[in-house]
Amino acid sequence: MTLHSRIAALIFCLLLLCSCAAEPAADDGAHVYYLSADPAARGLFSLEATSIPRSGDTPAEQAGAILSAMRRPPSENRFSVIPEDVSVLSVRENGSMIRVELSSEYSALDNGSRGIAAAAIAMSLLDIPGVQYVAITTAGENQAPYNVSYYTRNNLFINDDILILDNR
Amino acid sequence: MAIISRRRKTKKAGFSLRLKITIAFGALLLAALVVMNTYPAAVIKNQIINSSRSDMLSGVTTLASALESFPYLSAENISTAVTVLDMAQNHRVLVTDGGGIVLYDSQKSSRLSGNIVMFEEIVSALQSRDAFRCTYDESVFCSRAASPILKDGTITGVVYFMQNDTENALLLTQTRRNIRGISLAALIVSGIFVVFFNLALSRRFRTLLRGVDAVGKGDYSYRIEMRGLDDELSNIADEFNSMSSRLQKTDAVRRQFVSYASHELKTPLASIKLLSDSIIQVKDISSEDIREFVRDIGDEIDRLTHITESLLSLSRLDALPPVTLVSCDLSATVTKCAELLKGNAALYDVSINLGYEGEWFVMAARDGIFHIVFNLMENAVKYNKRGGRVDVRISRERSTTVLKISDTGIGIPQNELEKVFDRFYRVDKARSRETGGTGLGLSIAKEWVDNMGASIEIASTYGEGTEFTVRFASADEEVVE
Repeated sequence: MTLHSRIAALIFCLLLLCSCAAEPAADDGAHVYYLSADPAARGLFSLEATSIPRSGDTPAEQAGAILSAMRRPPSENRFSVIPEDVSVLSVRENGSMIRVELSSEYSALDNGSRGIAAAAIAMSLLDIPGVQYVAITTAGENQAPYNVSYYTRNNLFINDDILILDNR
Repeated sequence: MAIISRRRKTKKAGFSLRLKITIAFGALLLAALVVMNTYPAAVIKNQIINSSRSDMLSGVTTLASALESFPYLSAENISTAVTVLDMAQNHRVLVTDGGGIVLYDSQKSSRLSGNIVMFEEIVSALQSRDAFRCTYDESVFCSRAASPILKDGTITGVVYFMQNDTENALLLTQTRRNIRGISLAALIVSGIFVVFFNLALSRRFRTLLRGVDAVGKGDYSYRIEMRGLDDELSNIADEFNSMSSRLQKTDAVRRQFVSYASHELKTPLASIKLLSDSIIQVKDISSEDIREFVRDIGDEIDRLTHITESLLSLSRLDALPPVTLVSCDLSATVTKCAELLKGNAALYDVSINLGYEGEWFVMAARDGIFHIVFNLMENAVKYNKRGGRVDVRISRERSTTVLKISDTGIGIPQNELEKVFDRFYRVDKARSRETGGTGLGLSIAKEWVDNMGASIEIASTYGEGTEFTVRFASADEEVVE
């Protein structure tokens, strides 16, 4: 083996080692959902998650941090699903349920915007360990879709893999 | 060292040319294969996707338009619309309300009804955009499309289609596989062809280089045998062989010339040496004898001088570039030469007769025409019989002027006629020596004739006489410079 070959092999091994070491621990962070407009996707919108460090000891505290982060999109192609005039009035924890009270402006939103916002909030909060149900209320009344009072991972789907699985 | 260096260069050139051809051909082939393996498949894939886009978007917008006519959306009236429009045959159909809740799913066993779906296309439709997306893996084209249901400017729901097209995916996969197979076959065939082509080409180049090497080392007898089809390399080989042949002849002539020149120069020098030794060594030699010996030495020196001057003339002729022809007075040249040879002619009782009238102009070189005429006339006088004649005639034949110089001399045997123009060649060596001949006069005349683009012929009968005929290009008149 010539000297050059040895050096090349050594560099390759180092790079491999660095890439293994640098693998991010994505599952340790909180996933925050934003409305994404990807220019490459020909004008399509989607709900995309960004990972942020978890902050807060309790699920309610973590939920509060996530809701705050949802108002601060990380890049130009990401948009907050919570309009500026809608305030988060309170976040309460009840066992495995998180109840989010939003201001009355939320109920004034059109169905589409409200549905997207509710889906993004619910998906973000359902990612918190121990949280299995999310309720979104305005003036104490559930603002979920008509026949469901809270969101779970079983009634909220943002990935069409479910259809592909169904077809198989 | 020079020989070794030359050999090394030859080997290196052959290898690098083969490598260059292989790399060039390989790059071309690779480019062609890459294009062949990507472009057709990409075109087919795009066509399938575009066709699917058109069908799907048409479907969702049609169903959305149909549902807009209902006062409200329910599973029953959606089902009716889907059945009437026959939309569920090739697609999975979902219809949601304005919040994303599934009101209708064409797949009855599905668990999505009543749940919220926020697929990418549905999110886009809720943002008032028609959406289409298609993903492809080896086994399926998976297309999705969505369109908003509008009522009085408000989005009341979303129509969503999903279609899995395995048929076209399989077709595309098979097409790719076929192209890959064809590419592989083409690569193998091309590779074999390149190998054989390279071998054949480099063999032919090596053959050429061997010839160049051999001739470079001085082996002018080497001839290249180029096998194979007639092409530029064969032409090069033929030209090379022709050049080698000329080199060989030139070399032989040169060697012969050096040999003859050495001999011719050595002979008078040997005579001078002998005569001078005789003067020195003979005791009590008389003044008369000394005078005779010195006279003989003088004759040999004259002969040596004459040979040297002739050799110089010939070497100048060899180095001469093609001459510029000008209009020269042939008749005046003949007259002048006759005057110069009058003394010699009288010595041998030979008459010179000029059988022409007027002025005759030809295209020639001034120096050359004199040498030609003088040498031919001098030979006619020298090799004549006592009381003989030299006749000079000038005539016209179409566009040429013909000079004929004939004598009644000793003639030349037929088998020696071809050789008289060779350097140092003499038919009668004894007589030639007696008359001071060097054997170079006719060679010089021939060189000038050839240099001027004229022609010379000789006819002779041994014992009766000889006639030289020189043909020049005629000039209309003398051009005054």
